[in-house]
Order: sequence, then structure tokens, then C-alpha cells
Amino acid sequence: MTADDDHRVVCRLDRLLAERGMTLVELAERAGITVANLSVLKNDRARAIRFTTLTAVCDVLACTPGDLLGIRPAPEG
Amino acid sequence: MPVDTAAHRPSAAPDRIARWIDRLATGLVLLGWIAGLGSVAYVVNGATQAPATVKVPVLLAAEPSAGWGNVQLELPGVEIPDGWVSGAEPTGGVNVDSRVTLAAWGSTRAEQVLARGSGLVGGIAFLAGALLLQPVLRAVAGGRPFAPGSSRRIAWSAAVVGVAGVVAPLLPQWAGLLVLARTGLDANPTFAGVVQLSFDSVWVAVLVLVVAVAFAAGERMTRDVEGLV
Repeated sequence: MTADDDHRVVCRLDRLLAERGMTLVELAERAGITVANLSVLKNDRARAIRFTTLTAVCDVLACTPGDLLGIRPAPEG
Repeated sequence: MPVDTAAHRPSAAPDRIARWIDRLATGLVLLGWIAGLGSVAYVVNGATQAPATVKVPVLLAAEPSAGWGNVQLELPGVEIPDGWVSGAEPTGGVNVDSRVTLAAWGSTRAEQVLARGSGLVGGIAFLAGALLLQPVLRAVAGGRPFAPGSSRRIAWSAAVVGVAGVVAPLLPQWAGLLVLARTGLDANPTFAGVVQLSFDSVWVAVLVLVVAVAFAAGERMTRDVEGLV
């Protein structure tokens, strides 16, 4: 694990898509973002997110960044 | 507002330029192999020539009073008003034509190899440089100019240029010393062996090293944006 991977941010895109009955491809088309990039985001492989990406995804899913992103509790010890 | 998707895709050189860079990489390696193998063949051929005539650089030792300021070549039927033709090259800090070529029969294998050594070093250095730069050029053609390892390869290329540029001219000079010793001309005050270091290539190496440092910075920036969506 590199220093860049050492974070606890999680993306809830999978859940939001399921709640809205939307596919990744559909979101990509409507948000104007590549499926590849959304896939990286959905699978928690993203290490940074542009404000423009965040805005576009939140606009389409009608959610806030707080709905999309969360943070795992720090491991004890 | 739709997001600018172009900014989300990795930048790729236009196809035509990429193809040219790719061909350049292939051509460079091809030329590198020709130069490398050719230079080895050239030296091996030289080794088989012994004891034929060997041509090596030596110096005409300047005399304190007169010196060898103007070494003039006499060519039948050629007259240059207020001038002359010289086969010798200036050496040292003063403009004295003292570097000449000594041709001597009875060469040893070592003399023949060393006399052609600059070609060998140059050819091998060309091949090494081509092999080092091919992945860099391919990465550039593939739209990933700052691919991991590019800066390291460029830095090694700088080292190759610097070392080869310094070492290559020394080998024929070494041959010159051997020839002077073998022929007994080292006892003649007219001649002296050439031992002259040239650092021109070091400046080129420094420039290439600067490029390597720039690429290293580019690699760090690329790592920073990896995983950016």
C-alpha cells in the first residue's frame, strides 16, 4: 500500500445508483464523465476527485458530496 | 453543466506524431545496432590488420624558441597566396598546429584496437543510448511522456554521453603513446604523446541530465494525478 492509498474515504456511488435504479453507463452519459473514471470511483480506487466530477455526479444523482462520500472509522490501536 | 470529459482522459499525442515518434524509436535502435555491431567489426578488423600500418595521433613537441606554430603541407601545383594548408590541428591553450597523425608499420594488435577504440566506444555508446531512449520515445508516443523509469533512462543516457565523450578520444591517444614507445620515437624531442582530456561531452551530458531531472518532476506530477477522477 502506497502513502496515497492510506486513506479511509469510501464512495457510496454503488448504493446511490441502486437506490435510483440507474446504471453506471447511464450516469456516465448524463454526467459527461467516462465510464472508466466512474468505475474507479465506484470501486474505491480513486485517490482524488475533481470538484467538477463531484458536481456533475451530485447533479445527476440529486445528492450532496456527503451522501456520495463517507469515511471509515479509524482502526483501533 | 456537463463536465469537460477531455480533461478526464489521459493526454495522447496526435496519432500522426505518435506514429512518427514510434518510427523514430525503431529507427534509432536499428541505427544503434548497426553502429554497435559495426564498431565491433571495425575494431576486430583492425586487430587482424597487425602488423600493418597503424595511424595514431601524436604531438609535435613545441620548441621554446620557435615552436611549431605553422605546420605547412606542400601540395604539388597548389599555391595559396598569403596562406597555407596544414594537416596538423591546433592543440592546447595556444594556437599551435601540433597535433599530427603518425603512421607506423609493425603495429601490435593492441595498437590497432586502441587506434580504432574511439569508434568502438562511440558505436557502443550509440547502441546503449538508443536502447535506453527507445522505451522513453515509445512512452511519449503512447501519450505517457512521464512514464515510470523515463527519467532514470534519460539520466543513464547522460552518463553514457559524458563517459563515452571523455573516454573515446583517449584510446587512440593511448595507441599513440604505445607506437611512440615501440618505434623509439618517444626519445625524439620532436614528438610527444597526446594525452588530452576533452570535456565537451560533459556539457552535453549535463544538459541531458537537466532533461532527466525535468522528467523526474513530471513523473512525480503524474503519480499525483493517478487515481484522479
